Amino acid sequence: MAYERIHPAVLVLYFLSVTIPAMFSLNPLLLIPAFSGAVFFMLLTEPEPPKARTVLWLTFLVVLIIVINPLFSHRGQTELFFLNGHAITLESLLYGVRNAFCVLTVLLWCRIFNRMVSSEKLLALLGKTFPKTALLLSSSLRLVPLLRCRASSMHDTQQELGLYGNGEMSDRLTGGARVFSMLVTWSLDHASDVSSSMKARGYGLKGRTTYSVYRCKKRDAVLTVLLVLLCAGVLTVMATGGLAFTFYPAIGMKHGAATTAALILYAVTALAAAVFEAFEAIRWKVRRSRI
Amino acid sequence: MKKALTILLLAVLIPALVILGAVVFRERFYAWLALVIAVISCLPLLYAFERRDSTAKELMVLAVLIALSVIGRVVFAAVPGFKPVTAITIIVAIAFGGEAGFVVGSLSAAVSNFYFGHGPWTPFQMFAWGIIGLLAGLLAKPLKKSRVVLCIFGALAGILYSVTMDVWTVLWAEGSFVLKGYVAAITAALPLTVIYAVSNVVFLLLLAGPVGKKLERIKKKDGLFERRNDT
Repeated sequence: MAYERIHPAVLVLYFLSVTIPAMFSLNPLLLIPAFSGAVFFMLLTEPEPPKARTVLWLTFLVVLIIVINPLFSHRGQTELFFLNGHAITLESLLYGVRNAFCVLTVLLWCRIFNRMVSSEKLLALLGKTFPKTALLLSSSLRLVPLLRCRASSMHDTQQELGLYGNGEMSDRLTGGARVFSMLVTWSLDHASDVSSSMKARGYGLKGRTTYSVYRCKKRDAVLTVLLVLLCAGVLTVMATGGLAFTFYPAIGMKHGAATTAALILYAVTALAAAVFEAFEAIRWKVRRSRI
Repeated sequence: MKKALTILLLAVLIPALVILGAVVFRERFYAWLALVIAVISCLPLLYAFERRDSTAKELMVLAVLIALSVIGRVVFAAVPGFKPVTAITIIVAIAFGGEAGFVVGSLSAAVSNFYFGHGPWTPFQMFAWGIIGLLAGLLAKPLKKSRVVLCIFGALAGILYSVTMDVWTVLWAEGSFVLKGYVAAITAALPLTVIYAVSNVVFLLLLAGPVGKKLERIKKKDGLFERRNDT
């Protein structure tokens, strides 16, 4: 994927400049580019279509948020119907729709973030300011699959020995606790070995430097400047109230040159990733056809 | 130089973020504020941990404990809803002190979300589990002495975790902090809260003895976290 060649810090900045306005402004017009940007990007980069379970869960979440809001909030002018003596209003229904799409959009962008900024990239970024935290994160990320493997082999052995059946809850719990306790012993021993080997290789000595595979190139600098400008534009308009949007008592929004400009700037930001991927994919096809 | 720069950055960054929220994100200021508080309350504690001298052995023991609390979700997968993260955080905090408890609690949330998916809830989980660890470290003496106190603390920690996460649920889905909505969210999450509280008590009863003993042993044997308990 084309984003792999961009410095992780730029990717994090991009993620923040897309999600923060979408999350913290009420204006639903921001959600249109944010949502379509996420969907286009995923269509271009996801290797396989989403699982039916994920789609079902997201649909359930959206419907839930839409339904809950009008039930709790009875503000708004336009009454649709009455339920238990409370008015269900059009405004609160639309507010619920906006919230649901906000949550859905941010969830999609978080999924993209998880794919774009892998754990190793995040650790490389953290490594400079929080070296110990980064070390802890990266070692425990490595230990998780190892311990999982050990836990399952102990579990199997215990089961073969007839030490725990699959029957009652209490049996499963005490069996789990036994395996867990053994796992603790085993892995604390492991920690001892690893730390001796770290010490032997000079961990914590003065003057040691860390190596990072991610180099900041000219393109990254250009992208950072562009992102900061786009983001500053959107935030300035937000700060002066240009993107203000009210749901209660009646739906209304600001109009004007500043509002339109901010919406365009935000749309450029949110769609940039998808456009970049598409452009790179086309360029790759064209170059290959020339060979 | 680098130290001063980091402190300056924190001192400028925190008020700057709050003011930014008040000016720019007026409509959803509370959601912004909650997120900012969750993030920046983790930073100074992690920063204090960074500044401290720690041996390779202490770091590796912490890494193992973080991995263990993540893997606990797999070991106990046969029992639905039972996650030992809180219990392990408390046990570690009692044995190794509040700072170790904070680090294990908050980083367990960060690591497990590499598997279950990161989102805006990550800072809240880090905050909730970290604070539970910190509190358990402060109350280590009474918690160690009496099993009843330990169980009560475990149950309260489950409720604290659930209630903290509900603040975020309401702010995110509703946009503003409506007390009615918050009460509704807490009521809706009640079965989950009960499971958290009960599972914490069960795990503490099952694990505090054997695991606590092992941690005490390795602490004595290798002289881990010694300065930490004095402060």
